[in-house]
Amino acid sequence: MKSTFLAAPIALALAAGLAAQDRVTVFRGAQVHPISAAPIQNGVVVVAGGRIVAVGGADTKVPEGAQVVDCTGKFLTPGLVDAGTTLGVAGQDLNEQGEEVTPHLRVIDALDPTDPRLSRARRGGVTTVQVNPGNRNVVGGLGAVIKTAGDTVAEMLVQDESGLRLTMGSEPSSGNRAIRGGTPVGIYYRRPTTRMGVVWEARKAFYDAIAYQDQKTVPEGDPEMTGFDPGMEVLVRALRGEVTVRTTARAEQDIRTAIRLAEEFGYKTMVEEATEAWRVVDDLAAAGIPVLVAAPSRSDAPEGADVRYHTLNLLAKKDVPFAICTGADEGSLGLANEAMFAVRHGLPHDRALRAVTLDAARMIGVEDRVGSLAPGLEADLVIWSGDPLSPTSTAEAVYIRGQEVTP
Amino acid sequence: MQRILLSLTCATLGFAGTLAAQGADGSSVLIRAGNLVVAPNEWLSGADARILIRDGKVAGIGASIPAEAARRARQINWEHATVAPGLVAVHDLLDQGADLGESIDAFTPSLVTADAFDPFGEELAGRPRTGITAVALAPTSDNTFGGIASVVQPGTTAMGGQVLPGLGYLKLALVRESLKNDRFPTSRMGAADLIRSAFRDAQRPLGPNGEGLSVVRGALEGGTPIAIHARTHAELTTALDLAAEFEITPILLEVQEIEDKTLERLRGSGVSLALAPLGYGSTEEQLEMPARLGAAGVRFSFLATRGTDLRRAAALAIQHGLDRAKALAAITQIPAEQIGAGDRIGTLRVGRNADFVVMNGDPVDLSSSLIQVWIGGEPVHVSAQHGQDTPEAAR
Repeated sequence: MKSTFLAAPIALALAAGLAAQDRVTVFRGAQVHPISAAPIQNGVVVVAGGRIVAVGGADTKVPEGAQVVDCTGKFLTPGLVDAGTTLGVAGQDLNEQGEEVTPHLRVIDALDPTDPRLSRARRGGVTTVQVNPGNRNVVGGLGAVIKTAGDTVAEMLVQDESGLRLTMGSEPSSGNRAIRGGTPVGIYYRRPTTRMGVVWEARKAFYDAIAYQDQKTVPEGDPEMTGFDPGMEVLVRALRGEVTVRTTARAEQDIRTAIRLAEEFGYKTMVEEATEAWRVVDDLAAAGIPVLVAAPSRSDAPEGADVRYHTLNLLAKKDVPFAICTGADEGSLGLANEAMFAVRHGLPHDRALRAVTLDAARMIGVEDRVGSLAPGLEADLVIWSGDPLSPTSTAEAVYIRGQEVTP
Repeated sequence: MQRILLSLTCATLGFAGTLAAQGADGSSVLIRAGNLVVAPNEWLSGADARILIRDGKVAGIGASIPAEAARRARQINWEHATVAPGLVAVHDLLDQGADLGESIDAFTPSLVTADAFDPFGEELAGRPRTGITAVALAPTSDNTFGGIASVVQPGTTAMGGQVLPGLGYLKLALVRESLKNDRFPTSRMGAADLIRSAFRDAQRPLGPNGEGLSVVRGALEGGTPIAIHARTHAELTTALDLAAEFEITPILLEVQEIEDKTLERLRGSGVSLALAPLGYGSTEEQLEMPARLGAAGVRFSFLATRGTDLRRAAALAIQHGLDRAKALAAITQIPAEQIGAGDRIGTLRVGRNADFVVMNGDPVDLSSSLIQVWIGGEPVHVSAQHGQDTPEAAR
């Protein structure tokens, strides 16, 4: 294995007299899974200034005086990336029920850095997550990509305004009708009350955004202008492809609707949850829409969608880009175990590991920062006691930007 | 008297009585105390512990009082007692909660609690018995933008209480009870958006119905303080992020938990706190929080509606390492500053309102008790226990 090496940062770090945080750390002896390259037995990963500076075999050059972490017999992977969660946000804060279309609401406004679910994910080897608003609105708002460690939102933030939540199916309408008899009152007396109505609300929102854009007479994005509508601004950005529309759809009909709406408005989308993706895999492949499968281990799903454990395997065979996430489901096994579960049902080991690292990072547009081990990327690493997709393995040490964050 | 008199008839009667008792030349009063607390870190004692009161204000303190003015004033001797600034409650509903939350709409910044103020309310009348001389009558936390808290003071039985005009703060809430199931916002995410939109809209030309936004604009421009009710760490995080985004320095009400890193953010930010009241059921973390804040130089007051609870909070905080002067400041000077009244109440410097407590010891010592409480240069409470210590007896 030829080693890749970035000499400049190390030389600089040495010249600077090695400030504490810039100290060079060498992880030596592990089976290294760079994800973007083949696994390396007895590999070496060199980290300085919070970034990876070299990944290679045992003969990789390391600077003198570097701190060495002996990883003999261990596995070393990039920190796992969970591309769809609600970690850090309390359930009651996820859904703004005041209106059905709330594109400009931002989930980071409700983020609590001390949420114990974040540290639990971190202990399980997850270092980067996409946090989404909930599914009770047709257009739920903007998500964010964060690290699982940090004391303030600003410290944790990787990418703000990442992904706009759009939800198909019956969930957005479920609060608006008298399911158990009686008459809905107050703000819940409104559209949508049906699947049809949900799609109508979504379509109306995007048509309104087109009209908004056409009517604007002042420089765009200027909050000083009269009639400035922050929600419409977000939808316009989605129409331009600057924000990915994350369409939650579980049942076959809802996934088909998600594909149809994306074609109608031309926005960039991915299908999230996607329980019945196995039924529409050819359509997804034809449309080139990536799929983010939530908690593939669970045996039942909302909407009464039919769960099939070979879904991921099928997506892989048909070349549909996909990743695995834990989703909003509290019953998820945890990200590494979800990938393990996919392997048990036929997904190749390397694809499963990629689905919770590099492919997940691609899905949320941060693959140039995290998700694999290569020089220049952020040093988010996990040292596992064994194969990360084995039920007997644990994440023994977790590093974010070169800093150990275990436990 | 510069204070606004809500009930003119009653006020006239009240003054007539006072003047008769003082005599024609009794327009000023000189009080000699054992200790005079001018401000939490400024104590005068012995011969210097003197305060001259004229027209409801502090006209002189200590050695600077001219001899002639001192001689002509009515003399009161409390040489065994401590005279200290009256206690200030930074947030009080005065048992009028039902009148203070217009919760149909979460955005009601232009509502003013003075409009619901009952000058003869029993709760208000009872506050001086615990040492409180001013309270901010706050809107409830039912709304994201609740309205303007007005500063009110208890009065004599005949006069009733009164409003100190032009003071108070704009109250916002991020706590759970501000979120409702039947109107926007139902979530903290929505509440943050409402606040952000209002702050942004307030900086643009206002439309015909912009009266609420004009209040918000006044607050953003620094005219009216902003208070945000934020109890949990999550709510505190949202409040601090919004404060940083809009470069405001709000008072954060009822804060219950502070991580070390949050303390770092607070240090030097200008944001001040009103801490959840301390009691014998408080956790160690809560009991130690005042000392941590004090050491970090973060300004804070205590929340409580009764002065006995304020004094208990101060005493418990001292027990857990808080400096005595900072504890006293947390129930007098700081809350006065937080409600925008620092140049009128909270200390006994020359020119301030003559609002004070007379105690038989240090106000933050729980074994001391109240002898009298004065507001605007008039006694509003005379302790039954210390009845023989009235100025008439001492004269």
